[in-house]
Amino acid sequence: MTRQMLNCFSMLAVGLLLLSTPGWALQGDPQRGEDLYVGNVSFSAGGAPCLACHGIAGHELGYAAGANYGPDLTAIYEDYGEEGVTGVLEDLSFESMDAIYTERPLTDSERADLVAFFASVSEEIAPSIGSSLTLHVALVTTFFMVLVGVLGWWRLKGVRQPLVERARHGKGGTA
Amino acid sequence: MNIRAQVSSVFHLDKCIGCHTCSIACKNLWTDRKGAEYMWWNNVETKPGTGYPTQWEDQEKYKGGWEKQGESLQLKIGGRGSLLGKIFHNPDLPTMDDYYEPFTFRYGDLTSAPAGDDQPTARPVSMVTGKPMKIEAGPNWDDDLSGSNIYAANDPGVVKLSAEEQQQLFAIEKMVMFHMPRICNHCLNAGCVASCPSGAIYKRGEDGIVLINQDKCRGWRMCVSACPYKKTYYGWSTGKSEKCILCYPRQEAGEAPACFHSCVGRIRYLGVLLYDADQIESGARQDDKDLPAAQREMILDPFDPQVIADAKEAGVPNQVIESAQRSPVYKFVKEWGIALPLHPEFRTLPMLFYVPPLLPVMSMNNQGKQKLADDFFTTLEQARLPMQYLASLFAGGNEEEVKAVYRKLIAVRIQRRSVTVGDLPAEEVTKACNIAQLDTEAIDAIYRMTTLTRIKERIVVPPMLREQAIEAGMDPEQHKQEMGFGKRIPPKRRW
Ligand code: SF4
Ligand code: SF4
Repeated sequence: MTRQMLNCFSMLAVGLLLLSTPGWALQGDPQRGEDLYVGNVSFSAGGAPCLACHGIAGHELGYAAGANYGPDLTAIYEDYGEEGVTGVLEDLSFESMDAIYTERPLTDSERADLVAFFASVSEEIAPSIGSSLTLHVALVTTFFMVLVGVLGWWRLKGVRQPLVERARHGKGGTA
Repeated sequence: MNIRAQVSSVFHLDKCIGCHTCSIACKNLWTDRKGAEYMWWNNVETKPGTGYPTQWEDQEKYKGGWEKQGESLQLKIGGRGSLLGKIFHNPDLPTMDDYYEPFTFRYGDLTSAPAGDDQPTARPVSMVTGKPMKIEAGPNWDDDLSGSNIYAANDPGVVKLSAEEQQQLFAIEKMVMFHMPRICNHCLNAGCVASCPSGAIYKRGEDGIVLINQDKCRGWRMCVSACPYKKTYYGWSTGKSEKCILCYPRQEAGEAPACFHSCVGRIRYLGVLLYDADQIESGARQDDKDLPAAQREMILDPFDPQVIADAKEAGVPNQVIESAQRSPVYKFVKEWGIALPLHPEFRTLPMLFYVPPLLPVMSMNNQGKQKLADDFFTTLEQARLPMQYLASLFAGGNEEEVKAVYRKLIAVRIQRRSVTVGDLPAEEVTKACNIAQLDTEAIDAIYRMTTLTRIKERIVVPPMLREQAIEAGMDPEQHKQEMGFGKRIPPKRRW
């Protein structure tokens, strides 16, 4: 009984030790990184998911990938490398991020996961998401315009004015 | 039997002189404010004419009133589902131009213009935009001009006539016209009440006055479409719809409604009718031609002991029953049968009745010679206004209804002529009475009511018994103290 418990404790202790070692944490999980980025998994401190402001044009994220409050992050890993990205996430060197994450900082492992995710997408080429978005927006807009037009067409469009015009034209015709 | 009381009215069209005093009295009292400039809860139209708003009677355009669909009735704008479907874009509303763009004049320019060679003028300006405008229409546009080729010729009633009948009207167009004052009819089967998605419109249980609760109205304007008489109006600055309230605050103080009180021609009669609310549905479903009769059928004799007992049972107070017994409206509509509802075919069961205009036809027609009773009645078809036209206004197309009224009105004229001029043989008078199915007393009573009565006989405002209505909901003492304070709540008495 006591032996078993001891075993358990020791295993837990080793596990904790392993987890807290920086060397281990660096091996982020790109899948988890994506979940954090998109918001499928929330940050432990409650910060907003990255996708709220940043898009990743090449990654299959639907129209949300066009989020453009902050710059697109497709090439961030390529441009800044692991240290650069981790640094930004830690120092929060941008005012808008500062406001969100100072109170709700990311954990080391979350940072590592995100870095891994960024690394995995850095190769992706941005397809022309803009054109299909434009097309869809155009289609939807046209649909609404037509709808409004049709509803407008069905409306009662003035009774008196047509009477007056008909009488005037009628006169003009016969005279 | 489910007896209720309704404050109803009769307008005697032969007496209306088209002075618009009624409209002005109403405007000054209720709609002289921003956003309500274009509203005329009371307006006076010239007939033939297109009225206000233009061609309001044409329900193919405006979609007001009820339609028979098989055995049931449906609003012409659509059932609940379709109303919901167009709740954000009600397509059946009159445009501002169909009412008219309200205007005023820059009177200030008359006194403040700098000295110059020309007379200063007051330019017309729009009350909507404030900019100078060209006045092209008004609520009584074409007033007294019943020959106009725009407004008279496009009267929905005239358009429906045969070419021959139109010809007849045109040949004598310069002589024929009458005025038709209109207010909300406070209908029994009101389209406005049925159409309101917010349930803001209700018919007061105790007197049948139809009101719009300004707290509950959400400005959907379905009532504007659904009222076939176009008697609800959208208030542009309040964002709520408004309508004639039959001056209930005046009535509660024992006064006649302002338009009734001020009527110069004394054409307006007001009084309580007792009716059977159980017959509303079946009554409104009759064929067009039977609607006036069905409506008369619903109105009950306030002297009948059985009716009195049933009315008491239904909670109609004694004083109101007594008032119903003095009601001139009961006499006109039921006892004498000389008042008809306006456009009963809209099926809202309007409770404002009209004595159709006989016009000073006969004396002119006869060139001073007295025609005998027979001739009077046979020339009815050649009356100045085609019977079909009048029937389409007051009887759902049933000419017999109008003719029956005319026979009586003519009998009254013959008897009065015999009395005052004395140049008609007695048997002619008797003959006229027989044809009209009226006895001499009734004729005398009609004559008296039409010409000699004072205001208290013409306008019998019932005791409104507010204390009782208040007592039903709260302690009157508390009501008295709290009146005008606190949150207003929607009334509970709706049906
Ligand atoms: S006439 Fe009056 S009561 Fe009748 S439908 Fe119109 S607004 Fe309603
Ligand atoms: S005040 Fe009387 S007479 Fe004058 S227009 Fe009105 S209803 Fe007719």
